[in-house]
Order: sequence, then C-alpha cells, then structure tokens
Amino acid sequence: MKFTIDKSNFLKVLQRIQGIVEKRNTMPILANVLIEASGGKINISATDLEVFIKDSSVANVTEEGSVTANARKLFEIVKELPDNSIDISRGKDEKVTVKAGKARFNIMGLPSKDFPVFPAIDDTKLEAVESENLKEMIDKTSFAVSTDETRYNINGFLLEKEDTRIRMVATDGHRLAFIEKKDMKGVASAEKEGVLLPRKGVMEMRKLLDEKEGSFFLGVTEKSAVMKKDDTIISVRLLEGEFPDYKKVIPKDNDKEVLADRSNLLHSLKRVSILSSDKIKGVKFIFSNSNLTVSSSSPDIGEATEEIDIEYGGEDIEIAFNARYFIDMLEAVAEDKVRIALKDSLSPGFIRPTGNDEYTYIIMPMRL
Amino acid sequence: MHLDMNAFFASVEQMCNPELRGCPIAVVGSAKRTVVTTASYEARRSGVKTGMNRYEAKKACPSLIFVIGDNRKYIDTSARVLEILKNYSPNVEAGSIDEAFVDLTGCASLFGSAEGVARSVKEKIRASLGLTCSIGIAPNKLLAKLASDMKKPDGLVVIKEGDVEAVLRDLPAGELCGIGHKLTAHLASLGVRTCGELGDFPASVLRERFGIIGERLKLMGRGIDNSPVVPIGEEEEAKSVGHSTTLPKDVSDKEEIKRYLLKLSEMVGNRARGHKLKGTKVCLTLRYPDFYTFSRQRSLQQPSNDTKVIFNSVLSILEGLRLRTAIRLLGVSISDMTKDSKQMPLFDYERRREKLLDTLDSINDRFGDFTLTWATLLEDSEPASGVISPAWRPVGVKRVNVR
Repeated sequence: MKFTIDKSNFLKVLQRIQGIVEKRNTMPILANVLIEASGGKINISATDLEVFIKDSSVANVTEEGSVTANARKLFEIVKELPDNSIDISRGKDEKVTVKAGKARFNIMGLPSKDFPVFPAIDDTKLEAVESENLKEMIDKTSFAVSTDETRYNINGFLLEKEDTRIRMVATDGHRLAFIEKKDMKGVASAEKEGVLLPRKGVMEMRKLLDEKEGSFFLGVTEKSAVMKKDDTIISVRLLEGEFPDYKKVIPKDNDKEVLADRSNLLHSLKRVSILSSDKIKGVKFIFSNSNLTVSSSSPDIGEATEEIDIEYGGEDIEIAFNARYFIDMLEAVAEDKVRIALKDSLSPGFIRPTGNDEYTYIIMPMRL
Repeated sequence: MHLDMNAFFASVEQMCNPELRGCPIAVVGSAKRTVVTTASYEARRSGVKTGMNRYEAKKACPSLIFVIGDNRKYIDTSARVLEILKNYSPNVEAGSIDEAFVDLTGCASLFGSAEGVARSVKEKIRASLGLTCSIGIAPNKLLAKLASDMKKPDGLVVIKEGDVEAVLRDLPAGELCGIGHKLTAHLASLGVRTCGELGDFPASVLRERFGIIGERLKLMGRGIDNSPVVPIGEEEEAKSVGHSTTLPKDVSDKEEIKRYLLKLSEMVGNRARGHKLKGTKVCLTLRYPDFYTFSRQRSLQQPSNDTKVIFNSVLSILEGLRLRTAIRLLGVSISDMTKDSKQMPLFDYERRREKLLDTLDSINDRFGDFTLTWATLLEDSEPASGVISPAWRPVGVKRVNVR
C-alpha cells in the first residue's frame, strides 16, 4: 500500500475519528485507525465496537492495500508535519511509514484483517433528515443523559415515534428532558416502541451535523442507527435495556404556575450556586407573591441570597433544587420567559419555555 | 494528658463480679473462635496476652477464667470516665473505648498543675468506678501517650519539655504510638533503632522511603507532634465505614462466604444510612488461615449506601479472585465518603427502594439488628463475635451498636 495525500485533507479525517478511538485499550487494535487505499481515495475507519465511523479523502494512490496504525500518534504526527504533501506506505512487519519533507516515521501497526468489520449499511433505509430539527433535539436533551455507565438503560437518548410525532427523551434519574417534533422528515424508520441511542454515538453525530453544506441521511434499524453525509458514515449500536416509563413522571397536577424571565433566573442561579456546598449545587427556592428568593449556604464558605421578580400569585412554596439542573435547561433554550409549574416541595417541578409546547423539562427536588 | 484504663474490659468485669477479683481472667468474644481481647493483670503475669486464642491462653495459665465480654458495660463505663474528664477541660478526645486525651492548656489557673489534675482524676475514677488507670502528662499527644504507657498499672508519668530529649534518646522507635511492627522493621533496615536515631536521620531519606509520612517520622523521633486534641463530636467526617468478622470456622464454600458478605454489607449499609453517608469505594478484605490478609477495592459510579449495591460490588470483587485456601476472616467497608445529597430520585421505582431501606432500618433500629433481613441470612445462626473495634467512638458514625 502506498499513497500521497494533502496534509489538510488527511488531518481532517484523522481528527474526525479521534473521539471514537478506544482509550481504555481493552483491545489494542481499537486504538488504531484502519486506512484503506484504492482508486484515488483512502477510507479511514475507527471504532470502539459501539460506534463505527468511516470517512474518506482523495489521495494519490500508487499501490492499493490497507494498514492500521495508532490513531492518536498518527494524528499528532500529521498535525506537526511542516509539509503539505505526505507519503504513507506500508513497511515490513505491519509497520506504517509516514514521510514528509525530510521527516520520516515508522509506526508499529497491527494486521488490517484483525480490524473489526464495519457494519453493512442498507442505503434504502436512509432518509434525508432535517438537520436543524435534529440538532435542536439533541442539544435540548443531551445534558440530561446519565453518564453513570452502570445505568445502561438511561445512558442514552430514547427516540420514539407516535403517529406523526417524533420524540427524544433523556434522563439521569434526577431530571428529564423531553422534546417532540411534529411531521419531522427523515425519522420514519424510528420505531414506535422507541430505540435507545447511546450518548457517545449521538454526540459524534451531533459533531457531524455542524457541517454546513450537504444533506444528512439517517436510518434506524433493529440493531443500529446510521447517519451519513457525503462520504462520512457513523453507525451506532443501539443500547439494549428498557428506558424507564417517562410518561409516568411527567406531572399532570402541578397547579402552582410561575412565569419567570429566563436570563434573570439563569444568572441569579449561577451566582447563588457559587456558595452552595459540595458537588451538588443545592439551592433553596422560595416562591411567594410576585417574588422568588433563591439562596444557598455552606457551613465552610458562607451564604448567598438573591431576589427575582416573577409572575406568581399562589400560596408560598419552599423547595430545593440542584441549580445545575436548572442552569442546564435555561442555557439550552432561547425564549425570553420560562413557565415553572410546581405542586409541593417533594414533587417534581415542570419547566417549559413560553410559547413552545414541544419542549418539556422535569426536575426532581432535593429534600429541604 | 493521656489516660489509659488499665486492663479495661477485665477490670470492669472484676469490678462487677467480686468473685473474679484477684483471679486471672480473660475477656473473650462470644463467637466460637474468639480471641482474648483483654487479660487481667493476674492473667498477664502468667503470660496471657491479647490476641491469644482460648487454647493458647489456657495453656499459659491453667487457672484462667474466661468471661464473655459485655460491651454495654464497657461503653457505659467509658462514658462515665469521659464525663469525669470533662469536668477539667472541654477538650476531651476519646482515643478509643479505653483511652482519652485531655488538653489541659490554660487550665492551671482553675485546677492547679496538670499533675494535680491527674491525681484528682485517678482518685475520682477509683472512688466512683473502682478502676485504675495510667496517666501520662506531656507537652503533646504523642509524648503523653508514651508517658501513660511507661507505668502500668496505676501509673502517673510526667514528661517535661526539657526531659524530652533524654527520654527519647535510647527509647526503641517502636515504642512510639504509630510506629508498628512493619515500620519498626523498615526503620531497622535503615539502621534506625531508637527515637534518638530517628530524630537525627536525614529527612530526605525518610521521605524517599516512606513518602509523606517520612517527615512526620523524623519529627516523631524528636518528640514533636502538633496534632490537636479533637473534642468528642467534633471529629472529622468518617473516612470509611466497615465491618469485619472472623468466621466460626475457615470457609471455602463460595455460597457461605457470600452469605457472610451479605450480612457484613447490610451492617455497613445500615450504619452508613443511619449517618446519611454514602461511599464511592467498596473494599473487600480477606484473611487466610495463615493470617495472610489482603484487600481489594472497587469504585462505584455513584456514591451509595444501599446494601445491595455494596453487596454486588463486593461480589464482583470476589468473583475476580482465585482463593488460595479457605477464608478465616472477611471484611467489607466503604470509603471516599460523601454526605447523602438529599437529591430525590425522579423515578418511582428508585423512590420505593429508598423507602424500603428506610423502613428496614427503622424496624431494625427499634427491634434489634437483623430483625427484618434477607432470607438467605436466616440459615446463619452463629452470632457475631461482638468484639469492640479500636476505632470505636462514643458518638457519630464510629459508634457501632453492640449487643
């Protein structure tokens, strides 16, 4: 195998796959990229066995073939190379030779036949997707996904379809984000009973969605979800397990309704939570007539309190929340005002940006 | 000032039962394979030592009388001793169940010299409890403890600021509290035998060999110790919660080991929950019959005090081990503690779990440990050894409930 490639092209594809490469090194070959050269282009693949990513770039291929090499090292080398043109060839004993100008590197490789096989993609299942909608859905739910690997059933996004509505739901067991789009194109393949998309894979898809031009294709099969844009393909293995019954936790009888300015609330919470103790940003909320008092205290540092004007006419409620959970949501929406609906100090709170019924956010309070 | 109750458990038993007075007695645990926790001075004269098993003890002293320890008596007596000490200073630290540190700084104008206070304390303990103690008075805790160790029973030793160097010069380093067998051997391999030698030893070598405690070792050799007396109730947050038990007989059957582990996990979980603490690391300790002891730990993704989470984690550690022989002792502990966050779970099934544990704990607190428990534990009729650990404290999470 032998090819010559433009540095910027090579760097772009190498950068894209960095997020996927396995860092824990359970299987040495997962730390490598697979490079396949044929017919005027190279294909680059990486996987952690959960997420598969493939990309390609034009190259001047003089000898077809394939190699694998450490993804991180290769990326670091290419990044630092001075020259615009890079020669890659396969040396003895699976070694990969990188040459540019007067610099020369020999990187240990592993046989490319040992590299995991990229899952077959059924192009007929792929549909053009409204990327702006999909981006919004991911951005308004991703922060709520659990990062606790032992809770595999909430380690990702629930994507489900009901009639013409597409929903994305994420939770970490303390809060839940829920977004629904009507008549959205490109997700027809989503199952009614819903599929669980792993966090890491979706975040890779999200990065891809940032590319401006071109169209995006999405397909969901029994085992995997696939996103394709030009030559880039991301295939994500679906999570197994049952997502908790989220409909049950959406409160129906929260009759104490508050209207608050999003930006005011956001910044007050950011300030006040500086003085809440521990990792968990516990903040006390006291809702009274037209006024919300948020306060925090920690025995070793001090205490903070701030008052915010709100629209509220009900009876006083005292309730505590992890401010982080509020801040995440308030930062993810753009509307000027948010509506908070509460029941009592021990029941989940319901928050929604005004004038937008697509998005729902639920937070479980802390014990006072 | 450091106070050490002489042969505490044995003396309390002798005090409570006049027939035992003057006799060689040994306080033991209630389990079948228990060891001597305390021997009376009469028994010690015949060579009975703490840690001997019944057979060894009886061999050393054929007339020895075994008394099964009654922890409630000791806890009660310990509390009374601490009350007496609190009459002299607010800064009383419970070192363990039978020892205490008292900071007498600034008390001279009220009670006279420290030595006078010590005599008065000894007299009060003798008059109201009928027990003797050894007291050491020195400029810091390290030396006070050393001083109280110098004369037993019924001693009173004062180490004055100016005498420190003379006292320590030829004292074996292992006599200092905090320098155990292993450390003594390590030091000996560096040619350090006495405190004097330790104090003169280059700090850089000690640091290299022992890490951060190296510098402290040198200071200890010079009799310097700046640790404060920590009043009862103001101790730092517990760093770990753990329970261990010597099994009634060596066990190699995994199912049986698992049963003990479940029991220990419940004891740990119950105590942590009672103090609203959660641990992020779970540790399993095993001891082979040859006393080779080792621990393995595992991190949890989320801090927990749920018996089931602790148990599952301990099990997964066990699954990863190949046991060389049968097991003599098992221990379970959680560490890397955080305060229970008060964050309520969103999902009903998790809230039910919290409620279940709450209910379980409140029933057991009221009617006794293990009143309501796992069915698998019912086969286990052997009572726990019921020996008080040295980490016992009168208040807080280190107060283990004992029968």
